[in-house]
Amino acid sequence: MPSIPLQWYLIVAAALFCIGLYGALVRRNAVAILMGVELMLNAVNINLVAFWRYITPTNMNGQVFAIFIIALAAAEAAVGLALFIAIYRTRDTVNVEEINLLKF
Amino acid sequence: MLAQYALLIPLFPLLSFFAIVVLGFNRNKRLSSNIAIGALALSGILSYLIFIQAMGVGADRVLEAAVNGEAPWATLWNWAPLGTSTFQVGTYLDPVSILMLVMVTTVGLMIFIYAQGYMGIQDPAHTDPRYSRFFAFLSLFACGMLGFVISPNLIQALVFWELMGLCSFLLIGFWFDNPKRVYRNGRWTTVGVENSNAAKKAFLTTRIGDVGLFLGITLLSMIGGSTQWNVLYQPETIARLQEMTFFGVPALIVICLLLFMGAVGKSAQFPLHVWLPDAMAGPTPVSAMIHAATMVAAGVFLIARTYPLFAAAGAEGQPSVPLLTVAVIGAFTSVFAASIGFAQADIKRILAFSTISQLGLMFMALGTGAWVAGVFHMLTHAFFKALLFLGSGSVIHGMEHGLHHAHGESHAHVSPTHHEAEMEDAEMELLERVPEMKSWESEPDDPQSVYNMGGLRHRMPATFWTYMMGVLALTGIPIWAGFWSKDEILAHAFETGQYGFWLVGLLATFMTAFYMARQVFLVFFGQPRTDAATHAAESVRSMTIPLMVLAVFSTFVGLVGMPDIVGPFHIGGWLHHWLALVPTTGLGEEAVAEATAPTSLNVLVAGAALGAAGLGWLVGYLLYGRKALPAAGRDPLSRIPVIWDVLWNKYWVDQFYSKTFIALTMLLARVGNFIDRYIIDAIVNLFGGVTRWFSSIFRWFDSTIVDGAVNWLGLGTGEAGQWMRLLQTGIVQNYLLVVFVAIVLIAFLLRR
Repeated sequence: MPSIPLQWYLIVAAALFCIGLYGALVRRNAVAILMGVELMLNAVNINLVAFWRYITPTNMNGQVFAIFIIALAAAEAAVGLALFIAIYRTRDTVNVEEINLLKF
Repeated sequence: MLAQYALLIPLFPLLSFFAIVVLGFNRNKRLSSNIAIGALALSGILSYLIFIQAMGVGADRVLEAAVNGEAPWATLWNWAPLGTSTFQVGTYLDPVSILMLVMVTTVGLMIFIYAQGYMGIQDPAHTDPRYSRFFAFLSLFACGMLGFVISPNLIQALVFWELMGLCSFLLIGFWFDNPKRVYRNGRWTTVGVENSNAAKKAFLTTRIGDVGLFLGITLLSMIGGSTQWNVLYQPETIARLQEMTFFGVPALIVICLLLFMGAVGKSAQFPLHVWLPDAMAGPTPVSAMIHAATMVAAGVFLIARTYPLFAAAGAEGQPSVPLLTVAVIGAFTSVFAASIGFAQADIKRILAFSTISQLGLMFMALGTGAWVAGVFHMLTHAFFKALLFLGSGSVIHGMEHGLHHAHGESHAHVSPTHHEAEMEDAEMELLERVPEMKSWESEPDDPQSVYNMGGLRHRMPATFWTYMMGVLALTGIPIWAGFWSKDEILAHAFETGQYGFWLVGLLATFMTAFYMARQVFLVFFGQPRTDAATHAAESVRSMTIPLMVLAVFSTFVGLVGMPDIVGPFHIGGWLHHWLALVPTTGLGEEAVAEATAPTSLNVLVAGAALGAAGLGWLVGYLLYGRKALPAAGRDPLSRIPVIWDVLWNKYWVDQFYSKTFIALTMLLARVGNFIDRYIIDAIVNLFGGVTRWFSSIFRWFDSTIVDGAVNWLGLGTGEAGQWMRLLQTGIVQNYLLVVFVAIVLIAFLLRR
């Protein structure tokens, strides 16, 4: 059994998630928001790997989930960046406070 | 064998009615009258063929077959189950109905042909505008009479009986737009519509009798179980009916009196006679067809048909109460109506009262047991009274012509009485200044008043000679038809010892001769009393030829019932052999033997009747013929103070009815009106008001609560939407925050 307890990993992952969430919620730059989202996804990945290692080491579920999420994050980043580039081309900005046309 | 096709006889006129009314042949006036005449001619040919066939078979065989319900003389079809028996319709031909068929089609055909000329087909400009309709109605009427005659039961007979009632209503009121002027409060005023009033009066008065007839039929089918002749004429049915009582009274008496009530209404006998004189408002062919020759004879025929019931209503050795009633009513009416005929000015009204009187004689004959004589008189009367009515129509036409000639040709001549409707204002004003007329005066323009006529025998020879044939027949001069039939009635009353009825008959004979002599002398003899009479013209050929045919019949038709004068050679008495067995149907052998006894001329009775008629003619000649009535002269009879007033006012029967029955009816109607208006309507209005009040509450509830809830829901949704849309900021991070908070919240709620 590793000497470092599971909680520590969870704390790190939670901290990372909070940092990502904060970034996603408060940053004005769309690319920065995308970064925040990446951070949150990776926090989840840490959790998954940690739970796999400490609770069900015989199954590969946690790792597989992590791999899926990494692939998903890559796809999400690609689509997100493409969207932002398209927005930038039409609106000349990536500031999300200015991209607010879909409202009342 | 044609008898099984008897159904076609009433069918042809019915088809003609439908052809004219429904198929639109009414666009062509001449075609529609030709259809009507052709249809009736077909019926007539068929009737004659059946008559010839029946003569070949023999009357007793025909009667036996009919009573036993054997084809072809009784053709019956099942119509509806009726308790244990079956209600059957069809045709029923026995000697008397075959005779009636022949008479009705012959007289009817003559009247149809005459009506063409009377309604003015020869002059297209002056043809009656409702010419086609007239022939349609006449056809329907002929259907009613022919159907009535051959009905195999009382119910089918009632259907056709009422059909005739309807047609008489339609035809009496044929000129329903003809107004009546009366002198009231010092001026002439137009009140109501005379013809339509007469039509209503005829319809309602006969309806009173028909209620009795209907009750009688109901009672008969309830107690006797059937109204089929071939059931009623069975001796066992008669015997069973004799046993029965209705509330303690022998049922047959009640039934017969109720049936007689129908006949009283239809044949205009005493209490219900008032409609017939008024019915003269209709066109003259209608008067001849319905109110002289055929329809009023239906009442006599009904009694003749149900005679076995009447005869069976009496107990052993006692006279039958219904028969006595029939005889008394008939005898009374014959004298009563004849006396009114003395004092009438209208040529047609005199004939109308004569008809009532003669019908009374027929009922008296039936009531005294002279069944064959009654039917015989009905037969001869149909011919000569049709002749007289058509002749009077011809006279009226001639007077109309003279009237227009005298006035110049400015008036459009449409029909005899339309003239009044077209009277111009100037003439109306002139009339307003005329003082109230005395009862022996008449309006100078009235073409129907005998006082305006005189000397017409030179102007209208054909009408005069044919009319004389009718008058001689009616007044009972030998050879002419009326003598034989009337003598038969008197002889029977005399020989059976009913001297009271015999004397009444003699009196009626005298009175008939007198009023007819008065009419003939006033109309045809002396000098013309008005310009109209001076310029009167003979009627067209289509009117005079039927008159001649009917005159021939009126002269010779009596010979069929001539008594057995020559004794062993049996020249006379054909009718008696033909009809002998009918009245005794179902009554047993004794009655049969009595009925088939040979008849012979009773010289004493015939002489007395002839003497009475001659006396009547003599008095008429002395009063009206010897010294002709001068123009604007006073009727000699009117010098008799009280009696003239009584007769002129027709014994005030109409006035009595209008003061009592009609006033009572009007009072009842007013009471009913009051009840309807103030009690029933009040209840209805109360319910209506309450309902309205409730509904106003419900309306408030509906519009406020129900609609309010719905509206509030819609408005609330809208408001909520207005408010909620503010959440939609368009800033992605706000949404993300919400999602985050929501997930935290859910996680918090789902914690363990």
